[in-house]
Amino acid sequence: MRRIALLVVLAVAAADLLPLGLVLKQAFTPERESFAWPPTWLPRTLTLENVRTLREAVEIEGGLGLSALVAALTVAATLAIALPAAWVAARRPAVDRGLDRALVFARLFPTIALAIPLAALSIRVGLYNSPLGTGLWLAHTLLALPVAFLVLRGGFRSVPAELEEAARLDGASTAGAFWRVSLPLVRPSLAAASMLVFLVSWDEFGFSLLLQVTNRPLPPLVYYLTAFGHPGLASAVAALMLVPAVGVLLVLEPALRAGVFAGSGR
Amino acid sequence: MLCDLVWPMRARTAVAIAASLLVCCRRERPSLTAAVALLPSELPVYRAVVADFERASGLRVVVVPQQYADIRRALAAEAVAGSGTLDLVELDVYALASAAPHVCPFEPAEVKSELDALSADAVRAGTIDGLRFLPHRLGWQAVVYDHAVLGRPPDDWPELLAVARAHPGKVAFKGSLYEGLTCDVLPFVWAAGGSGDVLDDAGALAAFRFFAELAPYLHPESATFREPTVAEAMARGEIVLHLNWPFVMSLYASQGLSPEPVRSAPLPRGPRGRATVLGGGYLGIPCNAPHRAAALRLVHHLLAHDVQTELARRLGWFSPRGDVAVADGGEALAGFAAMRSEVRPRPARPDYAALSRRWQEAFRAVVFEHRNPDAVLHAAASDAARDR
Amino acid sequence: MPRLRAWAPAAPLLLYLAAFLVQPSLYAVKLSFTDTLTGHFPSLANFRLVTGDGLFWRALAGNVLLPAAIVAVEVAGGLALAVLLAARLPGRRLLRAIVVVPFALPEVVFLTVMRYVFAPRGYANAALAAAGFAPVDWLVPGRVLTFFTVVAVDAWHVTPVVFLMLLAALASIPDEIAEAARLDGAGALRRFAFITLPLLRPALLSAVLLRGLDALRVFATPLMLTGAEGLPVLSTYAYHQWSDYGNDGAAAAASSLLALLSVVLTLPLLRRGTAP
Repeated sequence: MRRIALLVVLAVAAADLLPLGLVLKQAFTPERESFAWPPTWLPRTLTLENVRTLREAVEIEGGLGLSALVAALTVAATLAIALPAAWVAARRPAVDRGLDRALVFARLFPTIALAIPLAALSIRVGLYNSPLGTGLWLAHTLLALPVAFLVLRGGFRSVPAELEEAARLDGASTAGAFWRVSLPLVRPSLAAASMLVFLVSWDEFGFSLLLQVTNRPLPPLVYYLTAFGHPGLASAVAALMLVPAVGVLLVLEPALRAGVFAGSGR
Repeated sequence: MLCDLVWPMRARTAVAIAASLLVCCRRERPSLTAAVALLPSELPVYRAVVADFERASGLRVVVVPQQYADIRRALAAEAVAGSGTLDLVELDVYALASAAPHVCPFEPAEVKSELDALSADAVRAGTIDGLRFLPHRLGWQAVVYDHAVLGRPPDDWPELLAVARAHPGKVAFKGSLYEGLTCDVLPFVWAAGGSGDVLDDAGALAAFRFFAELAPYLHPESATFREPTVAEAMARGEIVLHLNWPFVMSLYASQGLSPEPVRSAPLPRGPRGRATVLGGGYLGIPCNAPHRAAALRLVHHLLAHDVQTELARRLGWFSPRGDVAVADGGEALAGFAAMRSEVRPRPARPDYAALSRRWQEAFRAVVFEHRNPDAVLHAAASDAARDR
Repeated sequence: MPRLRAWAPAAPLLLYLAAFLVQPSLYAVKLSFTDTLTGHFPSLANFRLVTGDGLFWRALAGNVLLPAAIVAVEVAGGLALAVLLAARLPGRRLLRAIVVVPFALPEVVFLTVMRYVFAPRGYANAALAAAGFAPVDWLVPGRVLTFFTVVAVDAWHVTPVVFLMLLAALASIPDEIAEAARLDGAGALRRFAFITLPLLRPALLSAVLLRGLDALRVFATPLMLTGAEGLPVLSTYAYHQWSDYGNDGAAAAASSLLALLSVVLTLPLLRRGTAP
């Protein structure tokens, strides 16, 4: 039984590493090799040619900086909005039900239907194509809020309300109890939510394409290179994007063990 | 009160920095933004051409390479808002009608020298309630084939059928339900003497009977192919022949696949000769362009004789100017060069989009659902007549 | 008043949603009731146009079948993985990290790679050939297999998210309960069916709701693997109307119908909410 389980898991793990391996292979082999038949599983020739071409062709450094900035600001904005909401949702069932439904509505319309009105809105308020991606991280917050809310609410549920009450009996205000007692206890959930939100923003390309015309983050660049038939160049950008993404996952793994997602399911 | 406390300091600081930087950046020297459908491999040359303009004018130009569909979407979003960033856009011929309301017409006087030099047919395609678009580069389809496998490309319809039979599943059409399919269909209709305007004239019937003969040998994914996906399938060697635009030859060259094994050839001759569809990229200045006058100067520059010659020479583009010679693209572009005299514009009529969709649906019915070509076309024609 | 004060911490969230969600959604709804040609509002012209289109009905059917299959496969797969990796397997920390890797790949990149895997001359067929099997047409439009290939690709990418949710829920089940059952002589399967599964029920329901809402808007996977017509769903249909015919009214109409469909299909779960 255990041996079968191990085999299944190993097969799944192999399948899960395959796309990653192919991206890395395509990034560091000449593009022609990506079209070979039979396809090569391991690189035949290693080269930095794609990286060089990329630097000549597109604004890769600027894109990297903007992607990181937008993701960081999305994390800040999302946590600022979701943290108090998740706390009150964990404490008051009536509020919880309302917020739950409101967030479901954030997922009803397809992104493509919201993208043009959102772009128009951000043009009117002067946030369109901002060098700091201001319109973009505000839009990404829409995608990230449900994720952050669920994870944080789970975290607050695991903190007994009695702890906050005890602090209040000791003379702390509601806010003070929240700040000094609950918040430190949900730090793992906070970390997990930050990382997931970071990934949501880091990988998003629909809004990025439309809201950032000249100051473009990385995903629209990948999309452009893919659409114009350059698997090697697209993979080279993707490989760059993987560094923080995999980093986030590695940091997240201990948090997983600690069960920070526990409440998100309950 | 509570939310005040929770709102983290760093978010507040970030918003403050964002706001102040936004203000700073507004004061920067104005720069032109041009969205052009360029391949990554074309960017260095195009940027060099634009750099000449920057030196001469003292203006900064940001060239944004994008797909036509994305340029159109950006244009639409800026139109909804009533202001925007784009100063100059390049759109494909087919998108001109739907983008026309968002683009301001040129005054004939301000583009007089261009009007004298540009091909009249190409200018006519950019005229929608006034002269809104000027041709930037022309394009038309040719056969793109695997030279290593086929050796000699098929010269006429019977030879094309023979190639399809000899390589089953390896000839492809761009059979998706979109304008690109019409561009694959019309050349065959014209080559059989059809008008392209009438769905069931003798030429259309002959062309569709030919499609029905080809159908069993086409690549099974033809029904979903579009320009990029069919080009990718060819790169993997899954197909030996398809129709496409000149840009794929630059793509194959940058991938190391052209001139060997991928080359171009003229479209196969039908009962009444050869024909291909006029396409290409057109320049327009959005109504919301922040720097209209400067954008107009950039248009003058991009359409000037020297620049067009340079783009033709180094990128293999076909210039809309009559006084720029067709570049010698070697074997890779030979098929496109040979088709230059056979180019025809799509039927010019207000309900072209509906007509085009009928051609697409008829092709898909005959080729993918194996329906009788005559019956399909007669039904399509009577439906079209009822709608008019 | 105390009831209003209870809502105060949620005020930023509600204000944000009002600005960034309600306004664009209302715009999309208004656009769907605006005649694209005449600009007349309100008008049912867009809805008449899309309901007269055969592709729309295929997209509607696809938008029920595809999300259903995606959710079923991903929740079952995520549950299986979570149970397997909650057990004390050697190297499970590393395995848990590996299993989540596909989610770290940007969607565009992942799907491009998948086109190379399932192309006629792709990795899947190369592997089959190496094992002595004939090549398979994975993505030919109109075949049943194409549907399953698309489901498999989506599951490949997104199952890690379900896995994360369920693994956490599993971890929160006290060991003592399973231990007690074991002492009572219950086998592994019985313990799973009568203890683990009921305790996981809330987590499973939220996974179904969350994945369901996203799967109903599935877009890039069918579009990039099969184009707008190979396996149409409502969001690819809306994209097709917008991108290929420049008809933003019809695109908005299809999007509004998708929003309506999402509400109808998730109503039973919505009533319950993601909270027990």
